[in-house]
Amino acid sequence: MGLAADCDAPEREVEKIMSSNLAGATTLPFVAILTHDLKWVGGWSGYKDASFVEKALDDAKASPLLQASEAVRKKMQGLVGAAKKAVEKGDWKSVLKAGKDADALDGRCAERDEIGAAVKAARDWGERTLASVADAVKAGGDRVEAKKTLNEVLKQFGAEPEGEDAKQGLKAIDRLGNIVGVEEGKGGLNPAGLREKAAKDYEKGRWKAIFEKR
Amino acid sequence: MRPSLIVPFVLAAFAPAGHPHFNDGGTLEWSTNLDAARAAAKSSGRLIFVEYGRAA
Repeated sequence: MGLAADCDAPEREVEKIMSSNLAGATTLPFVAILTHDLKWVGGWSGYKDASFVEKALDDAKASPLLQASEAVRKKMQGLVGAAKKAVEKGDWKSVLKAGKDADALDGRCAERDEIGAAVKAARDWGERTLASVADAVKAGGDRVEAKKTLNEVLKQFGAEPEGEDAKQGLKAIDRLGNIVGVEEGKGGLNPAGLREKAAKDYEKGRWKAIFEKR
Repeated sequence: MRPSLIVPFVLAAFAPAGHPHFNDGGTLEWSTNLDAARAAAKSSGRLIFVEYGRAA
């Protein structure tokens, strides 16, 4: 993230960081590389050529300040254990929770990558499941069964994007059910244009396809 | 500064905003506020690249 700080009207905290870490520097620009909690990782003043900057950035990436502390790693190990068990059970809700708990901790470590892999598995399951439900309904599959599956996605993902997608799917399937009912002559209504209108209402996203006539 | 050098520090948490004084070709997303930069860095686990200067 870049912070463009105006040296003629700097924020007090930014000025303090610069003056304490680049004491005596006079040539603009002053450059600092900081952690989000404002620990100094590196910096310089004045023009520097590309090789200098490249080395400074490489050094910053290798800084021990970016590594997770032992205390954090211990917490992360607990989260990895919980996430792995949850993956085995298909308890995606718990996997996502472990991911969020890990996000709240600072620092890089191998455990973070393991939790990231578990979260990816959860997201992959969500995507796969949503796609298979949409395909099944489009192919004329059992809508009751499809809704049951979508309710499971909703239960697992809640307000996450996959949960919101499942909610849309539930509404779309209900609407398709009503359209099919009309097409079968229920209520004596004219079914003309109902599918097209529904498809338009669900234009963005995967559920549009279920309104296509087979 | 070669733009490609600072790509690893680009964050995606904020809507894109250019540098107020020059066109960096979209290399970084820039904020002019420390708190906003901190929040974006924290949410994405990245660093803050501070450029402290004035318009040329």
